[in-house]
Amino acid sequence: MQLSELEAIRRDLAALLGGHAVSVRAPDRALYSRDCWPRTLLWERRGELRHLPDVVVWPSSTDDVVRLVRYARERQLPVVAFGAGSSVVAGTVPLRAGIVADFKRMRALRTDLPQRRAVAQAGIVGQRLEEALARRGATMGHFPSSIYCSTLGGWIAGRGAGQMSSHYGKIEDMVLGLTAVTGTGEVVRAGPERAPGPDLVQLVTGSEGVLALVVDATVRIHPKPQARALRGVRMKSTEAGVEAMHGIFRAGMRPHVLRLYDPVDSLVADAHGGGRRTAEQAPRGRHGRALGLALRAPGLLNRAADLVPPRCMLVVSFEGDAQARVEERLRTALDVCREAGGTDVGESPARKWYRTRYSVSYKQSGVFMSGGWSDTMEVAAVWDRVLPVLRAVREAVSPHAFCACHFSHAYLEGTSLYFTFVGPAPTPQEGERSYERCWKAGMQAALAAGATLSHHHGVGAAKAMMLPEELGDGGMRLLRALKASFDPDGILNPGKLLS
Amino acid sequence: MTADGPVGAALERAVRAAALGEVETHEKDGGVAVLLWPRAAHDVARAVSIAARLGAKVAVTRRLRPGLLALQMHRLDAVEAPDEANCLVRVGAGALVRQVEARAIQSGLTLGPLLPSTARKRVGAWLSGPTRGERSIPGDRLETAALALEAVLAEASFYRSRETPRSATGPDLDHLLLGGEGRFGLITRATLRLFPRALAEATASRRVTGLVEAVAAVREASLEGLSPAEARWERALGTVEARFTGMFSAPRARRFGAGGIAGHEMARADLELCGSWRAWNAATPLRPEAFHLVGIHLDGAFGALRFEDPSELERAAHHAQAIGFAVVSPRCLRAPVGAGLQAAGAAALHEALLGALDPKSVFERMK
Repeated sequence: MQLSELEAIRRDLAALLGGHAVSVRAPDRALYSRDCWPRTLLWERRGELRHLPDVVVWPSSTDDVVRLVRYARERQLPVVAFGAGSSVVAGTVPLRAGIVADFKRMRALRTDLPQRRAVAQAGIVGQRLEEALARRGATMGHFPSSIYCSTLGGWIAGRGAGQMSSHYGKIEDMVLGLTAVTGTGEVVRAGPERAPGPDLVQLVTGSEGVLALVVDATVRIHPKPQARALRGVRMKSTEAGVEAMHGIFRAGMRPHVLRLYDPVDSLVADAHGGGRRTAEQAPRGRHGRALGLALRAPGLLNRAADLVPPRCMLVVSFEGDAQARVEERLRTALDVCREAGGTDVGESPARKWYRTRYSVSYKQSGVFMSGGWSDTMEVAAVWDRVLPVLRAVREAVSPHAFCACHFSHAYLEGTSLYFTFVGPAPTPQEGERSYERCWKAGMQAALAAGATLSHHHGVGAAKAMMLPEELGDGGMRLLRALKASFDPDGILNPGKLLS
Repeated sequence: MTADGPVGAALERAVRAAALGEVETHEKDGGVAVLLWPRAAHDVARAVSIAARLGAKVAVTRRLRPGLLALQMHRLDAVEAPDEANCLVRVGAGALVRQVEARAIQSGLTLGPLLPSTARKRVGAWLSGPTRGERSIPGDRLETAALALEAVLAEASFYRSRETPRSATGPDLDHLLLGGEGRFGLITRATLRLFPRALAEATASRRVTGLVEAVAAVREASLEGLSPAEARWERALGTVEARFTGMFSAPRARRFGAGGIAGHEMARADLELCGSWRAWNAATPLRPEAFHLVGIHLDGAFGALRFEDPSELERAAHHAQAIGFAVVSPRCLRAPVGAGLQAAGAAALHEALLGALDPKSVFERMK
């Protein structure tokens, strides 16, 4: 874009939103050119800054967003909504430049405790939201590991899940209503009261800023739990652990936390005193360099991992208003685990997990500095497909990356499988090639074995090429029809979902 | 071409020639209406294709008019053996909900408590209707029973969603069909979620002065984690009775009230509603003499109401919609399917969606 044109856009937007809400400065544009998609770290290692937006804006109100979208439509400029940039699938990378709209100035919160509802603007950061609710004796129950660097709007855009989703559900289960601005600048208000016809909330949730920009949402809140009962259970194998998870749901329980680590992830955690360090968080220094060398033969590493004793760690926790009641539920869950061959190893592993549960989002860069790359792929499947999906993905990615897995969001019908891949990147170019091969193999294997492509990270640009395989022709036709209806000019987050 | 006599006659010829299933024709208002009982989902797709070619409309309905191809889904009534491992059952859209429930119960599973009219419905009508096939996860939220759908779209192509407990692969496209009353596509098959049947069960009742107190008692029990599965109130008896299921809820039933009274089915349900607790709290002016709540969740409940004077029904339904309820039954009092989007300020969006999904306007609202 010509400088004069850019300056004209800056002036126009400053007139619409205020001078302090618009920037075309190089550092701002660089900052908003990436999110937490690991591939952008590989680009950074090469010193590349790809996908710079033309302008960054900070709207303060729904009216600002309407003005912004109408202007962008008139000028045919892409608009990418930005929360806190924690997408790991390039959900907020401005692939076709244009305007990045950072929503963090829209962070108002109103609670209605008697109705157990809160209305929050989209830009409120997760941790701030939970802190504010906690001061009122409430919780939303949404605790993603990215809670410090993600927003309500981002959760809704990506159909996110928190660590207690087995109990509270995913974000789509929590949102009762929302306000959004479509690509034509129309404001739609769905819910919280029930309306006839299709549920607009469910059509906007997960749309990744491609159909509409979410400006606020009404969410369900709960009294903040006063009691907690928790335990680590050693299972003899992944199969036994999955059986125990399934059994707990079949018995009518919905634990707040239910996480099973495969033997490799369990071993890494054990080696660090039962703490939360997993394969995703690599060692540094001398050990890091050794890891970099070892990663050059991922197939061998995976075969070595097969020799690891098959025992697994299961973390289970219940929260509630009375200690006796949560203890009762925990006892029942432990009975199910024992029936599946589990051994109660006390509270320690679960306590350590609680202490470090948000650390994971910040520790990947060590792997990149060790001459490797790491990423995670979260899929989901019904119970009788869980182990076939696990085996298929492990086998498919084995030549390309070291692979570990945990199971962390369970339902009566199935669970998510959260794979961690750690691959070689002796040079950034080689790293990118192995990264691409690993991802393609992993996604194809997961789909073929009956899983969905994503449980809670979303599609973004990273998985868009595989979406037609997941949705089929009919699904893609519906998705394109939604896009044509909500955003006829295609200005909202182009290149995501629909590549 | 408009939906008139010649269209109806051509439609009849084309549908008969394609051998898509049993066909009946009816003279109606000087034209011909065609009823078709497709035997399989592919018959539905071919029927839609024929109707689109001839400029006719398609709907799942018994209300006939000239030029309409009225599909009767009765033959798509397969109910597979419940998938006990995953708590699922795969069914054709023409299966009766009560048949599905009977099969589920044989396997120790259940759809959960449903409104009286739901049990009489076919699965496709239940999922396409205003409840969107929802039932409550005890003590928590509403969730549609549909884990995955198969549907025929306006261009006679198929949409099939994946059987997965949750996903984040874009918007939940099933929600264009759930509650859509056949306007965006015709559901032909579904995978439904089931619950394991609870072994423990208890009822308890408490005296209340009227509807508001009865609603408050049920809501309070729900918020306290007692998770009532269903509740009944009768003005004449002055009591509200709740049923509690499951190993954690049933033993705590006494916290709700004294031991259960003899269960009395509501003799008749005049009006079925779905609404938040806010709506239920404001329901006194509806003046029902009894309610039966199911789908009780943290935010509200489904309810069947009985009126002393059934002529009150229409007034009550209009008032209910004004205070935030959605009318589930009777059908004739339901708001049109586009009303939700219009209320959301998205009238233009609704029109655009119709244009994008059904450009030839083949589908009519299910009646």
